[in-house]
Amino acid sequence: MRFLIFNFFLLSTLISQLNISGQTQLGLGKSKNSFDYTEHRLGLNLDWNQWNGWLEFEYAKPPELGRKFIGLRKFRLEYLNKNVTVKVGDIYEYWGRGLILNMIDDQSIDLDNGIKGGLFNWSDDSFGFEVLAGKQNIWRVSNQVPNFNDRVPNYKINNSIYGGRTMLSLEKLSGSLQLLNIVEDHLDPTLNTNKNINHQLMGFDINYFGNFFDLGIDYVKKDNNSYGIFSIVNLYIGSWAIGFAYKNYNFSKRSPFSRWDFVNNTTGATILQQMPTAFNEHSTTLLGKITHIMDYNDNLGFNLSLTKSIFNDALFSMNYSSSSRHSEWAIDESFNWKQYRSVKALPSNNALFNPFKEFIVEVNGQLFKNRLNYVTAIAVTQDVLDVFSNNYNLGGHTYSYEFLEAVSFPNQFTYSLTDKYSIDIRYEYQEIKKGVQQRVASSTSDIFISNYLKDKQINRFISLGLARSPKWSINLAFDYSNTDERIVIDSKRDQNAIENIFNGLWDTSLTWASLAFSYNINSNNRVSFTYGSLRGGVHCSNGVCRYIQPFENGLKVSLISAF
Amino acid sequence: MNKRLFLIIMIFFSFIYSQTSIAGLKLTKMNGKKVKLNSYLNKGPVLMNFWATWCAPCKKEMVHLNILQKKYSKEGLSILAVSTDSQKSLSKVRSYIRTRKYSFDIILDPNEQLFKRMNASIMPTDILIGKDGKILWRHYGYLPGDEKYIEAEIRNALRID
Repeated sequence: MRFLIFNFFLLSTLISQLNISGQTQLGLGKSKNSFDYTEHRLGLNLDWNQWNGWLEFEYAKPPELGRKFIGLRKFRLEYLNKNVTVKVGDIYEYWGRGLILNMIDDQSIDLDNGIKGGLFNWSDDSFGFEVLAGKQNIWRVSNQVPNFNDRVPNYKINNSIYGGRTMLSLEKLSGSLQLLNIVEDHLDPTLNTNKNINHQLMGFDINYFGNFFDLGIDYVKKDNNSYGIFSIVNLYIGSWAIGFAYKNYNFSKRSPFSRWDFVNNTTGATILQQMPTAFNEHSTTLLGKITHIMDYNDNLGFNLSLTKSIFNDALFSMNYSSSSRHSEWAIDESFNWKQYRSVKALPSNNALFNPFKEFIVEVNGQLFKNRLNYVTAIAVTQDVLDVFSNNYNLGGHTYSYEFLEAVSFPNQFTYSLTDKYSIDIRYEYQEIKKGVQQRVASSTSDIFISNYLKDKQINRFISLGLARSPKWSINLAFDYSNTDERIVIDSKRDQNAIENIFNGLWDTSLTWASLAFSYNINSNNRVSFTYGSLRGGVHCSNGVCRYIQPFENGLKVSLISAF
Repeated sequence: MNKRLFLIIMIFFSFIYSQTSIAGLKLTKMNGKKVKLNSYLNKGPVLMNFWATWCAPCKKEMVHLNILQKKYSKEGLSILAVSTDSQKSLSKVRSYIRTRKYSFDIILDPNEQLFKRMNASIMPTDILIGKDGKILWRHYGYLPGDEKYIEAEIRNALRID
């Protein structure tokens, strides 16, 4: 009994010194097309004076995206005082704008490029240095190895990492010098052997934050022959903000045949390099589905943005992005891809350089004493997705490439009916022309073969919502198309009850309908249910995109709690 | 068996009644400089708002947060808008805030470490921290009208009325 009392007081004393907080996230999904998942994450933060412990447990069998896992997923012990930070365990850091190092754990796209290791940082108001070392095991999706699946990564890369940086910070000027060494343990699937590949990166960043303008330059040199540059200037003139961003990522120039194959090509940007994209990140459904997928190895371009505060608390913004690859590739007499010509400083408009252009104008603001919030925009997108062939021979110039042209009108209106009730209406309209443009020998004009059964795909996304603050919201959404890609249209759909109700009004065979309900149980707990179907496509989070398969006629449940 | 159960229950309640203190947290400002959460808490309570430039409800909420910041800053309230924009879109944060003429401080959290440290889950998430560094209240998402509840919690924290 004495032993028990002693232990109890000892534990109580220790525990009363220790502050514990955490959160849980539970996600369940079941659909007719077997997109089933069960995932539960429990994150715990333990604070004791200047120490912090972080634990993350996971039960994912299977997760929505990624590999099955049950157990302790992440842990970190951190010590923090005025000048010193020490971390041991799972580390996520970023240096500069991510040209050398940008570690992210983003479950929504299954990207986790953090390391298990240690970090030491010393810094005061003007000077600092940091060293880190650790190991990294990353799973990625590749069609170059067996068991390819959009949802479950099938290729593992092991990295050993060490590096350091020094930072200098003055009143308005700051900068850092960075060095990073990565030893990659790379499996060659053809020979079934592992090889060690050494990547050395060094770089710097310089930043100026003034009252009237900001300036930032980041540079990285990788190994001896590749580099990346990103720079940005923001000017503030009255109510205008004018931004210009420039990128030149030249880590590995690859032919159209091998440019996405990271299994058999070991050069190029590493997974730790998550760099600025210099194009607009979309937050609307239909524009999100045609987000440009960028190759960090070979990209050159710029982004110009104008933002201005206009009448009645409205904001006008205009964004123009343009980029391309550095080189045009052509097939020679021996049927090998060779670099045919290149650009160095500015992107090319030639289709065989895979150009991407996007122009967006958006107005958003409030009206009627903040009762109405509106967003209305127009976006024009042009993207050459892939080059299939390109020949210069005696018969003339022949080529074929896949391209996309789209015009999108996303609109959203939220109106407060009373202090508690509000309605939300979203209407997005999009026209897409997508297909293969080709020129055959002896012809002087191009032939266009649409990817769709019709010349154009017309998409409409309509969503109607009712909400009662601060408790609940309910939302009915329809994602409609007039046609789909030939390779997709053959896959069998499983219509849900909502689609069946509306089937009499229009043909719902290409309508994905869903009903979502969210309820804030109290300030620490929130539950959401989604019934119906969600269309597959490119899903992007914080600038990283991946394809996510459709969710057909099912139910998703999510519960989040904090304590 | 009963002794073990008793011990487990006591430990559980010790956990429950312990409060989170995060006053020593180091935050990164827009210009890259570090600032301790304490420097804001010395003035009064802090409302930490997690947002991103691509998050539509976050932008709707910010209009109201700016009004609350102006209204209660003299009483010591600090609103910290923590941008979770990654390095890929971070360049747009300052121009957005400047043209909107928002008066609250911007904190950067591009790899969501502060987001996880504060046990946030979705965006926007609001966390109200008392002057003593203890979390007083949190709120997930934004629905029009939520600003009334946010203001009520701020007034409670400032002990107004």
